[in-house]
Amino acid sequence: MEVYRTCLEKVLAGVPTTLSLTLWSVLLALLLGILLSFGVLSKWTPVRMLFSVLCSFLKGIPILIFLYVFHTAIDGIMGGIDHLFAFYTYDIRKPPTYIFAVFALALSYAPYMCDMITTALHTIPKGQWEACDAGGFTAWQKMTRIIIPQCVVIAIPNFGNHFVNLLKASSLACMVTIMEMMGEARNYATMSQRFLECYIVCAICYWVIFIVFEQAFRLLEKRAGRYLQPGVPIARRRRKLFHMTNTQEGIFEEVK
Amino acid sequence: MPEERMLSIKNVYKHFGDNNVLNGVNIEVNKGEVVVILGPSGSGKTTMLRCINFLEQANEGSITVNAYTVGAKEKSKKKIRNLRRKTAMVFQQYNLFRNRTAVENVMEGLVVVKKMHKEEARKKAEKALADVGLLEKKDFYPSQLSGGQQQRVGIARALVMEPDLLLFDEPTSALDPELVGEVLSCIRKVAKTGITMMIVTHEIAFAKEAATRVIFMEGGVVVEDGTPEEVIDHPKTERTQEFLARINA
Ligand SMILES: Nc1ncnc2c1ncn2[C@@H]1O[C@H](COP(=O)(O)OP(=O)(O)OP(=O)(O)O)[C@@H](O)[C@H]1O
Ligand SMILES: [Mg+2]
Repeated sequence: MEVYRTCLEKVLAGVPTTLSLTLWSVLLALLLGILLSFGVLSKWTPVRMLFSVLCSFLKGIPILIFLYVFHTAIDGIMGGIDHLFAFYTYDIRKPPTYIFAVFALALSYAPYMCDMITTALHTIPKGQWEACDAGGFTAWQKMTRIIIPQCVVIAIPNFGNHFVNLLKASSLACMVTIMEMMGEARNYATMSQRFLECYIVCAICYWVIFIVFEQAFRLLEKRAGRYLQPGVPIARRRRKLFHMTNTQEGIFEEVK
Repeated sequence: MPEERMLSIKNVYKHFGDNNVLNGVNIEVNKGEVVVILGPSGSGKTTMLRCINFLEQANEGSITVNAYTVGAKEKSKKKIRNLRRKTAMVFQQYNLFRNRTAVENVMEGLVVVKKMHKEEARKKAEKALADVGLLEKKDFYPSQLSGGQQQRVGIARALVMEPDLLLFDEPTSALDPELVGEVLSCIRKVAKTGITMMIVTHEIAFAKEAATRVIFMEGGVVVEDGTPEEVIDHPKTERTQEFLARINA
């Protein structure tokens, strides 16, 4: 029992690293995915082809290779930019492994984010674009006020999937000495020679975090997508829920 | 008072690949006219309407709305946008913004295009919704409205911009039969306000009573053009007669 408890403590100590690693990677992946989607949707065929190949390349390579490559290249890259910026000197004893792991994870997931964005864009009916055009909107107004808000809602389930996948993939970062949950578990397992117990504890911890995020995204999807579902107007529905006395059906009686 | 020209379509040609859809369309519309466009399916009515606000860019010719002319080959997005801002369109499929409530749909153009203050826009939008009889639905999202209600919101959204020219593309043909009436009576009310309108429809009875002018199109050209009595009751060309006979049958 003692093993389980100590192991749990170790793994929990790694949770903040796992979460921050996941969060930063997702954000960076999203950013890169947006950039990629500009390329993939470009009206110039050569640009489009170039970016499609790039996406395919990034998708085709195992995350672990990215991690190892970046890890191996750290000294080279950081040594190179060492004296470029006055405010930064590279300390070879403290390599920024964490940042490079974020980059590796983000690069692997960027093409999926790109796919997510282009799919969402293609799901917006043509009429939505035309209504903006006919109204004399600029391209910027059209995108920011009508198209992107709808895309975000459409992309939430997809984004949630990528998020939890990346959460799990972040465990690979232990291979480049980052002490997130998996790293802590592995470390303690080696120390105590109780591998099975440690990995079971770690697995359960991942599962719990997974459930939390899965439910969070499900809730988000439901709330954000309310306007796509028929029913009573949102302001009124909320008020009604407070006064709700009878069955679910009561909420929907006033449709139409 | 001299007649004020609101719309000139000059010699407009449009083809999709080798499908010649518009073959030299010429139409002049004066202020306050309610023009109904009739014609068989595939005759280019929708395309002609979409060429007016450059949802389709014509290959040849020019469009003038209230003295603002844009040539078919115009590349400047700004000029095209300026022309579009003089018009408003009501779509067959309503095309309300799905992420906006009814009142927000109507406000959107005021806030975005006319840079109106939000509160002022909301007041104006609510008034426009009241005009189409939908004030009590103002906080409903399009998905929560019936087709007829959505189309009335669409009409309010177009009207509130006070366009020089209002375009309707088959505003009732996606509706269940029992909902057609409410939308047509709404358009009838709009027509009485003196706004210049162009309506593509298959509702002959409506055309007869609400239009001041009827245009019959076929094969991408205007075949007949006159008052409702002239075109619908006493059509000159055989094609128009055939078409009307088929529709009335
Ligand atoms: N975006 C497009 N690409 C290719 N062809 C098109 C396009 N839009 C219309 N067409 C073609 O143009 C022709 C005229 O179409 P249009 O929609 O203008 O006819 P219409 O008079 O509105 O017919 P309906 O009464 O059925 O609506 C058709 O042959 C159609 O196939
Ligand atoms: Mg049509």
